[in-house]
Amino acid sequence: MFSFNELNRGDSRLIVVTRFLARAAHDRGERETALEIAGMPPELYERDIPWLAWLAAVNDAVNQGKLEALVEAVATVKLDSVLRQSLERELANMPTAAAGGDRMWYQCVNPWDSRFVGPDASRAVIDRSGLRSGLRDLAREQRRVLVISGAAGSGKSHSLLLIEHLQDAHQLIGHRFAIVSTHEWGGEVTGVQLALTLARRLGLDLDLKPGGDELGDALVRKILDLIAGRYPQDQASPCWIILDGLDRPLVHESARDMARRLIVMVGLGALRPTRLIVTGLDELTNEERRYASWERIPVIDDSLMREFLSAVAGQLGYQLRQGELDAYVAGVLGSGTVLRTLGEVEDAVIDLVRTRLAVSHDGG
Amino acid sequence: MAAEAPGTAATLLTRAAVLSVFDVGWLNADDFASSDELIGFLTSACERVIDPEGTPRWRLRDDQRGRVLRSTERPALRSALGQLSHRPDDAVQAALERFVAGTNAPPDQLDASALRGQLQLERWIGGAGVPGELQGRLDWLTVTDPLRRLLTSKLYGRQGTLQNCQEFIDGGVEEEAAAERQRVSSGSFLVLPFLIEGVGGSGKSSVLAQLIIGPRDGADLAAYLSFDRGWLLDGGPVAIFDELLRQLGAQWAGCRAAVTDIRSRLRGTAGVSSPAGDIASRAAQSVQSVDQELLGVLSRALTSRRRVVVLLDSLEELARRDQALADEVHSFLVSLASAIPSVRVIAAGRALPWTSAQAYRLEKLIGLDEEDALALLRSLTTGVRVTEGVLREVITLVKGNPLSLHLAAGVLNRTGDNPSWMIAVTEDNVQGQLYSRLLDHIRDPDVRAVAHPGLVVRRLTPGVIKVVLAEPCGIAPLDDTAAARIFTGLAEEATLCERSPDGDGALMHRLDVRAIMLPAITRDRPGMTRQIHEAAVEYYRWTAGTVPGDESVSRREELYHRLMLGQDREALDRRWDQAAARDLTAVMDEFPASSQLYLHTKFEGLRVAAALRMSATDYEWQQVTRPTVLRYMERGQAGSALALIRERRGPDGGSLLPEEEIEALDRLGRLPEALKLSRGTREQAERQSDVARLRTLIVSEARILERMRRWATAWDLLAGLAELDRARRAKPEPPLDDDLRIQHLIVLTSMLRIARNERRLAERLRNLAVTLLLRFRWYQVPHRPVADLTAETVALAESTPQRVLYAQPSLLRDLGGEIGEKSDAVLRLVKGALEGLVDPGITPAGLVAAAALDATVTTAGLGWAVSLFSVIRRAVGSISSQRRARKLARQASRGWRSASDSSQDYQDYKAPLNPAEKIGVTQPALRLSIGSIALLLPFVLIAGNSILNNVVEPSLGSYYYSPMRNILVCAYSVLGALMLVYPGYDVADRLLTNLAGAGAFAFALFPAAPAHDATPTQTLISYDHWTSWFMMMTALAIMALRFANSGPTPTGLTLWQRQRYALGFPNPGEMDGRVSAFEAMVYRSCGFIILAGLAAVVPLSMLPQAYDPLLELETVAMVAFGTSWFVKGRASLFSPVEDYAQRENA
Repeated sequence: MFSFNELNRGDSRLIVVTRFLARAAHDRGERETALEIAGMPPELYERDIPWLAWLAAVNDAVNQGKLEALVEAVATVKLDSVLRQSLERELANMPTAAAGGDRMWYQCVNPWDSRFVGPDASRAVIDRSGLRSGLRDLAREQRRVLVISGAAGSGKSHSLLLIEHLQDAHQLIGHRFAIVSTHEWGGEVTGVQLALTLARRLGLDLDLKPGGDELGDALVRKILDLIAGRYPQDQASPCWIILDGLDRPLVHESARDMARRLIVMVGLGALRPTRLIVTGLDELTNEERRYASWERIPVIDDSLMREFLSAVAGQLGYQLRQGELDAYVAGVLGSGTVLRTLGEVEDAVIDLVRTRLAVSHDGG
Repeated sequence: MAAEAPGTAATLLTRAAVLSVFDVGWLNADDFASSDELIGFLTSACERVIDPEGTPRWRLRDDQRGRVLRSTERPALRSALGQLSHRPDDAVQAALERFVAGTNAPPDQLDASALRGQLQLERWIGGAGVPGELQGRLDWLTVTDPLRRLLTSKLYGRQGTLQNCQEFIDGGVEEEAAAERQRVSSGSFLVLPFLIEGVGGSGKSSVLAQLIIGPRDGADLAAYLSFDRGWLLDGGPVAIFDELLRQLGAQWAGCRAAVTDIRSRLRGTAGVSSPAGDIASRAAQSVQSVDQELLGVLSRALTSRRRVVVLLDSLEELARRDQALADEVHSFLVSLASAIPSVRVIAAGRALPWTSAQAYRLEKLIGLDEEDALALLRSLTTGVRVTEGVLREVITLVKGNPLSLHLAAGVLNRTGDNPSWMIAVTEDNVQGQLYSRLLDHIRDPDVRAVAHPGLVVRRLTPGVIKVVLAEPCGIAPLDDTAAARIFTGLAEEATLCERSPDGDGALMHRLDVRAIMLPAITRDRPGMTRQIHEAAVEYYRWTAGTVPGDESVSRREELYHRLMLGQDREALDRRWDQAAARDLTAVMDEFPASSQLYLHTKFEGLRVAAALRMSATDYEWQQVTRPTVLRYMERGQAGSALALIRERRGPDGGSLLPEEEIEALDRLGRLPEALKLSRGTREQAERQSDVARLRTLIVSEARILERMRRWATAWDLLAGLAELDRARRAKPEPPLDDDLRIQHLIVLTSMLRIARNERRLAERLRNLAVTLLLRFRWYQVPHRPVADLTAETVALAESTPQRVLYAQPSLLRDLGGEIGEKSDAVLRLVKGALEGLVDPGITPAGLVAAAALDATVTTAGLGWAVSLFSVIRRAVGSISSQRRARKLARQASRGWRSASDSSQDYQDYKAPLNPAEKIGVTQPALRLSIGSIALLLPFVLIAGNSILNNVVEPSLGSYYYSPMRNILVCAYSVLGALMLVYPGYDVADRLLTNLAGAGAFAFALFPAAPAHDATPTQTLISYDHWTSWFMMMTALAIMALRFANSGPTPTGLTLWQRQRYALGFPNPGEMDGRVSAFEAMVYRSCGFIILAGLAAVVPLSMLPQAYDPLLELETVAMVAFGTSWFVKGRASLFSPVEDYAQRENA
């Protein structure tokens, strides 16, 4: 049975959930009651505009693993026994790139090769052939751990987009996902925080009360031991653990140490059946390399963009001429003194492909 | 660029960009943005985060913020900041505001948190990369901040120890230079660590902290490594070295680049077993340690004259781990300090893993110095009117012991009494007396009743007091209020109790007090102690299942009390929780022996005391010893592993850990012993029909046979297994699991390797035969179905998950070597595994060759000898040619004979100029010299070492590791040289003596393996040692037989007659009478004695270990060799017509 707690941070379906709940519990009193029932302090969501309040509340509920409780709470407040089913129906009707259909401007037969993902194929996954094969290896259990490293802004977190796309395309049926991103914290991130959040995402109640004098390192080890001890080992379908953004400066070394321990644990089969993706670990020891496939992704440059555009054109049945390619690459990467961010490059690529290549393919 | 881009979205972006996190209201957006615009902005550009206070807030996404901060001018950002109603108060916000204001704070003025904020800002505005200086400063502050806090909270001198440490660090320049000279000249200079041992609270960490951030701050480069960070110990020397490098790079920008490079190389090549590490079929895979070369690189990078002070804290954690790790860490530290003269290692702990002999100096902190103790007592008795005289008296009586000082201060505070009188009348157990005195003055009788028996439990809560302690302490029944009152009363007894580190408000007895008092109460009141343990088990069993939030702690405490009760294995297993119980290893010493043994079976890697092992049953002994043995072998300490295995034997006198003993013997190069044990154990397993064990033993036996180059037998064993494996793989169910795949692949690759080594040997021997101009083949390559086997291995390897192969680096290497040419998939995996070890641009063929070479090195040894001999032959051949050319020129010049006389030229070639003659040595003298040396050598070695060392070594080669080494090497070198210049009668003589000479040189150059703790390299070299010995002695045996002749082989003999003559059995008609029958008998006897000795070595060496006949056999063979040469030399010296050379001269 579907659980709303399976929705992860950044999931495009959260907008639909927010819109639905804001519509359902429009009244401030209803909202506050529902939040209270779900165990979320209503005073944090005292905005006059229901949409704004629900936007914050839904995102927080996802972070805290309380979305299921929140939906149930709204159903309780509204005395609506079919509210949940209605919401599920709305989610099921959401268009996705992988689902295809007439509305899609981009389609790719093999979801593993898809260059554009997300609703309305709105995100570009540029290059990353190594990333794709790494994910494929994980899905087939050729490897259990994938470590992705690269410079800031190189697109390490794009693995999440690709995984979401594969889920939409029913490539990972039955697989569960526990995603912990250091972007969830506005300040510093320690190993203990990361480990406890992971345990929560895995649905494990560890009954730990950190705050004593115990060393962070020892506590992280204890938390991981507890996770290993209580992890359901008999599951038929694998769980994907994704630790994202470990290279951020606000992340303590203890958080990276926690990830290293987890790599070895998963590699040794202590958490079975599990796949682990870690982004932002820039150095691996020899031992970690035994267990992990290590993908070091470069910053998007001229040659990668050429390769990408040529591949996309090929998928769309269009043969790019050299002059065209030069112009497109220069247009996407820009030539100013300020380098474009990956997001800007992505936007430019989508704009280019939608307006030029896809149109050309359609005979426009 | 615009000062502030117009438009709602841009304004929202700019305002959000100057806030680390925000609430929607802080943006003051109600005036200009509609709710839809706001929602659109939040959903498209922002994300929900938890701020440092734990409150959910919005935050602009990193990519958006970076774009705004890079593209917006400062005045516009300042303006946006000014329009905000509220700003968060955190490090990132501070960094943002500094950026907006255009003020830069120097990194050395920022604390760790501010540095993180600054680094985050740099990431936003700078794009890729992290500024090294900021990161370095942050790394260093992360190390030193806890030490600063320590020094702020308590600083009780230890000035004497500090002074000694400083003297150790400074060390005289002259002294260091002298030491360096000594190191360079003898290679034996070792810099040992300075050790500090002391109880908790005795000031060890304070001393270390002062060395880093005290008055010497910045004077030295320093690294502080505390072993309570478990990963440092888990990673061993590699992790220690890596952390050391990280800290050095953080402190000194001058070495940062070099340090980064070394760390990269270290991580790439060291750690858990590398592809070049071991033989895949061994249970223990060798752990690669820190490469000495990297120490050299670091030494060169440290161009500063500053000392590098390595401070190791919490050494007791290392002392708890197994001895193999402690030895390895010590060895690494000594190597580090010896390779880098400026390094000084100071290590401190409550218990030490090393002895004083392994330390430069061991300083025991038993009591505080008087002044330090006075300062401590004063701080503890603030508010009590007490004279300095009384305090000094107390200090003198308790000898400055920190715990006693704390307890005495408690007595002073509580009673106002001078505790000196009490201490003075107490002969021992000062702390017990002080403790009792403190208990007496607890006002609440219920608290007093609980306080002392309460030591039996580790945690005190109102629940524990009510349910566990009340009845044994005689205060039952208690209601919740009364229990809470007692709990509060105990919480006020700061000298006795403190808050539990579990963070749940529970109390615990001070660890030092409990450590002193628990054994006493257990001994004095066993019934009550047991009652409390039993009640605690029931209490925690109940709370684990019912009280939310307490499960982990409850399970741990329940197990603690079960272990204290010494419950049996079944009872413990039923309630076991690995994660919860891990903490209990820290209090291992509190448990009875049976519980300690149980814990050791659950947690590997802990040191098992010899006394504890002695108390174990055979089963328990096996369980706790096996992991230790394997770790010894992983760390290259096979000798220690063998000693530990042989610590106890089974009821039948056999090994209790036969598989491990076989592997230890194998690693020590004691292959015949290993083979014998393996066969015996295999027979036993066959009788017991223990299939899994049988398989392991067969693989072990095949490995040993392979290493002994008894390839045919090894092949047969493996072929049998392979047949069974094929049958198993043919069954669809159950599917082959990962472990079985590995086992099958090990068998297949071993067979392929055997086939390859057989082909390789045959090829080399063919080359050798050509070199020797001997046109016969004496080694036939057996027929092996290599093509089928290769296809089978490829299929199995390619169907095996990559993760399984990557986890077996040695096997992966073997696969690369054996099937790399046939499988691209395997080759790709090998390349991935060898990353950092091979050139990134290596060709596939090169990769296969690299893997194959590694695989070969583990088994081959004879190849080296053959190669070496080929080289020597070529060199000798070259010298002979030159000599011949020179002689022809000389002969031509004096017209002795025509240089163009081909027949004579041929004769000359067969009898070239004798180099010995050129230096005035005749052939008889050569023989006498060789004979004399060979006769005397064994007795000189044995007698010399017996006098100097009182030890008789097991073989002549073993004297290499004795004070007689130089004599051994010199004697064999001289023998080699003399035999190489020995002209003999004919070319056959010269070939044989050249062979023997080369063998003698090789014998000297390649020493035998030491009797204990041989490294793999030493073991490998020892094969060449024994190969050369066999080669030399075989040649000398034939020479001894040939001494019965008195000249070159006559012409006109039949083939049979020539062969008889060549072996010293000429027909009577072929004798010229210059060799008497007695002499001929002597020579033949010597020849056969040598041959018999050679033939007896292998079978006799397989006798029980109590009798090793190698030395005797070698001695007998050497005496026979010496006798034959001595007699021949003496005889020819007095012969009327001497040798060929003399005839020639005549």
